[in-house]
Amino acid sequence: MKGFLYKIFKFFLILLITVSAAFGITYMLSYRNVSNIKLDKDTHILICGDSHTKTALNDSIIPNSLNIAHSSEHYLYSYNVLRVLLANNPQITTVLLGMSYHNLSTFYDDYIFDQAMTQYMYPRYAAVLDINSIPLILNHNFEGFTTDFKDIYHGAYRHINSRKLDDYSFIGWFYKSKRNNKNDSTINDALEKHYYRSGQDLYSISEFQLIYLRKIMKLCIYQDVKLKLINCPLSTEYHSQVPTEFLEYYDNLNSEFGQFILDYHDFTVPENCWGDGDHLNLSGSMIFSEFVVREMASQSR
Amino acid sequence: MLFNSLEFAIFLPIVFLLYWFVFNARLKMQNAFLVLASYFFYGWWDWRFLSLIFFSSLVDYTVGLGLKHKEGKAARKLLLFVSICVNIGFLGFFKYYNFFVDSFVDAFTFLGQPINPGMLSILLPVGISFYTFQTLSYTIDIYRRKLQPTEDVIAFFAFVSFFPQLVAGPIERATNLLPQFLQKRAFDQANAIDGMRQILWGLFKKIVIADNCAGYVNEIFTNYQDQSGSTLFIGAFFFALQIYGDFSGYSDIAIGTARLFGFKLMQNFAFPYFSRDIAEFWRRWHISLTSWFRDYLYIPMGGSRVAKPKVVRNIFIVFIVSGFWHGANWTFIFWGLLHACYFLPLLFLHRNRKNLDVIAKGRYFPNFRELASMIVTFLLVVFAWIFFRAENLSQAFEYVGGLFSMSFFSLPEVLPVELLILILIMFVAEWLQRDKKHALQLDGAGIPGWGRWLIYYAVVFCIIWFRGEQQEFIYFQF
Repeated sequence: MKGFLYKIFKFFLILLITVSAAFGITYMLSYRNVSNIKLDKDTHILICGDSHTKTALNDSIIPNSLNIAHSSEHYLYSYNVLRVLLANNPQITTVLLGMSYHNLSTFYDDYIFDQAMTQYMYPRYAAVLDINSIPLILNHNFEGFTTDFKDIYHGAYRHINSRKLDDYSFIGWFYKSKRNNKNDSTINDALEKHYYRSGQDLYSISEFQLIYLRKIMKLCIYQDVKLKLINCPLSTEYHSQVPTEFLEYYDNLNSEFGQFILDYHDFTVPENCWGDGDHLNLSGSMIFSEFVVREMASQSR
Repeated sequence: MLFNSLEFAIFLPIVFLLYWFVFNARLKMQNAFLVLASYFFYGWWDWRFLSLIFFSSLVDYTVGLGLKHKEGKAARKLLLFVSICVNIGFLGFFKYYNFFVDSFVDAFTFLGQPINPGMLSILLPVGISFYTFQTLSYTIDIYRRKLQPTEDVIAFFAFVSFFPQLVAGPIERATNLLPQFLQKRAFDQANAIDGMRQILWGLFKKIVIADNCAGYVNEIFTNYQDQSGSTLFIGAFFFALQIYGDFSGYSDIAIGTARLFGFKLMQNFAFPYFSRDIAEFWRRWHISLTSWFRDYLYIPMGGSRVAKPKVVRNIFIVFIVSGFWHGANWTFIFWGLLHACYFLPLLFLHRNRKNLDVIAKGRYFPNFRELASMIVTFLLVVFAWIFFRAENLSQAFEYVGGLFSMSFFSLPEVLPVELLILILIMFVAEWLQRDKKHALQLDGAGIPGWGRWLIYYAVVFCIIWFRGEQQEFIYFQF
C-alpha cells in the first residue's frame, strides 16, 4: 500500500509541478509583455465599461480618446485592465467608465463566478489578472477555473508576443452598431437579463461590483487620473421598468460617488438611434458622443 | 456524481483511504462503509431515489432467504415471481409508463377513437435498468440453485449498490461479485496500479473522444435536414465514437475504481469496433448486458437448440428486448431489430462463432480479408446507431434518406482534423493492445518505466488540453 501511495503521490506531484511551472512561466512572460503596453501618446481619454459604453461612446468623435470597452465587463476585469494601462501610460488624463443601474446587479457577478458564463471571460482577461484576483476567482469557481484551464492558459500564452493593440484580448473597441431594433421584446429581454434571475427573482445589489468600483477610484486617484462614471442613455421604456431598488440605490450612491457621476440616462435621441432596448446604435452614438465632447469642454472651462 | 467531475476526484481518494486505513479491520465494517459511500455517491444526484435501491435490495434479500428455506416448486416460483414483479414493476413504471400510454393513445387515435389519458411527469432514476438486472440475476440464480443466498444483509446491500458500477454497469452477476463481498479483501498493488491506468484510459475516452464528438453529433443530428450526405455520415461516425468512448470509458473507470478496492468486475467492452462480424461485435460490446440476455432470456427460451422458426423468434425477442432495455422509444426497438437482421444470416450459415479469437493475432496488421470484414461490420454498426441516436423513427429515416443522397459524394461541411487525429490515436493504442483488457495495460509490453510514465503523462496532457465540453454519460439515461 505504501508503495502504491508513494507512486501515486509522485505521479501527481510531478504533474502538478510541470503544469504549475508551465502555467507560471507562461503567465510571467505574458504578464511582462502585457504590463508594458504603450498606447498612442495622443490617447488621453480611456473609455471602458461594458456594452453600453462600447456602443455609446464613439472614440472617433471624442478627441484623443480610445474606447476599450468589452461587452459584459465586470469591474474586476475593468480594474485589472486599467491597472496595467494606467501604470504605463502617463499621458492618460481621464477615464470614462460606464456605470448604469444594471452594473449594480449581482447578474454581473455571474461573469466571474458562474461556470457556464466564465468560459470566455477568464481566457480574455487571464493575462492581466493580479495576484489578488486569481485566488478570488478560484475560491468562487474552482471547477470553472480548472475546466477552462486550457483556454486560460491559451489566453495567457497568446499575449507573450503580442505587439499590436488588436492582439490583446482584454482590450475592447467601439462597436459600430447598425441595428435599429428597439421594441418591447428587446427592452424586456434586457430588463429580464439585467435584473431578474431566471426571469422571476430580483437580483440583489452586487457588493462585489462596488468593491471593485472603489478600487478603480483609488487607482485613478493614485495615478492622478480623472475618473468619470457615465450613465449612458437609456430608452424611457427601459428606464421606467428598472426596479426601484436599483434606481434608489443608484441615487444613494450619489453621496459617495456624486462628484464622479455623469448621469445621462435621460439624454434623448431620435427613435432610429437605438440599436435595441438599451443600447445606442452608430447614429445614436454620434449624437451622444458630440454631446459628451461639449459637456466635457464646458466642465473643463 | 459523475466520474469526470471534481466531486468524484475528491470523493474517491477519501473513500479509498478510509476504506483501507480506517475500516479494514473488520469485513462487516468495510462493507457497511461501502454501502454508505455508495448511497452518498448515488444520493449526490437525487437522494429521494435511494429508497428505490433500498427497497429493491430488501425485497431481493428477503426473497433470497425465502428461496433458501422453501423446497416446494410452487412456493419457489411465487417468490421468484414477487422478485421479478417488484423489480420489473419499478422499471416499467419509471421507464416505460409514458411510452405505453403514448403508444395506446396513438393506437386508439389511429383506429378513430382518440383518448386522453393522464400522463405523468416521471423522473427516470439513474441506473435503474442496471441495478434492477443485477438484483434479478441474484434471485434467478438462487431459484435455479446456481447460487447460495447470503444471510449477510450488509454484504448484499453493498453488492447491489456498489458505487463504481451502480449507475451504468457492468451489470454484475451475483455469482461473480457477491462472493467478493463475503471474503476479506487484500490490497494488491499491481492490481491497483493497473486499475489507475484503466481509469486514466477511461477518462481519455470519455473526456477527449466522447465529449468532443458530442458537440458535432448534437449539431448534425439537430440540423440534419440542412446537412449534406457526407456530413450526415460524419455525424453518424462521430456518434459511433461518442457512444463507444462514453460507455466503454465509463466501464473502464468503473472497473478500474473497483480494482482499487480489491474487487474484480467483468470486462464490459473488448475493442468491439475491431470485430469482423456482428456476432463478434455482440461478444465484445456491452458484454455484461449481452451475456445477461443470453443467460436469462435466450437460453431459457431454447436458444439456438430449437427448430429454426423458434430460433428466429428467439433472436428477434432478444434483440428487441435489448433495444427496449435502452429506452422507451421505437428507435431503440428498431435498432434492436436491425441488429437481429444483421445477426440471423450468420446464425443460419453457422458463422456466428467463427471469429472467437483476437483479430490478426500475433501480427501488427490485419490481412485484406480481415480489414474488409472489420470495415463492413463497423459500417453496419454505424448505420444502426443512426436509429439509436435519432429522436424518433421519422427523423431516423429522413436522416438515412439524406445520407444516401448524391451529396454523400461532396466534401463534408464538418471535418475536425484535430479530433480525427485523437480518434486515430485511440484506435492505434487499442489496436496495439487488443489482446489486453484495456489500452494502457502496459505491463510486459517491453516499455521501460520512464517510457510508461511518459505515455501516462501524454494521456493526461490530452485530457487537459483536448477536453470536450463536459457531458453526462449517455448510459445514465438508460
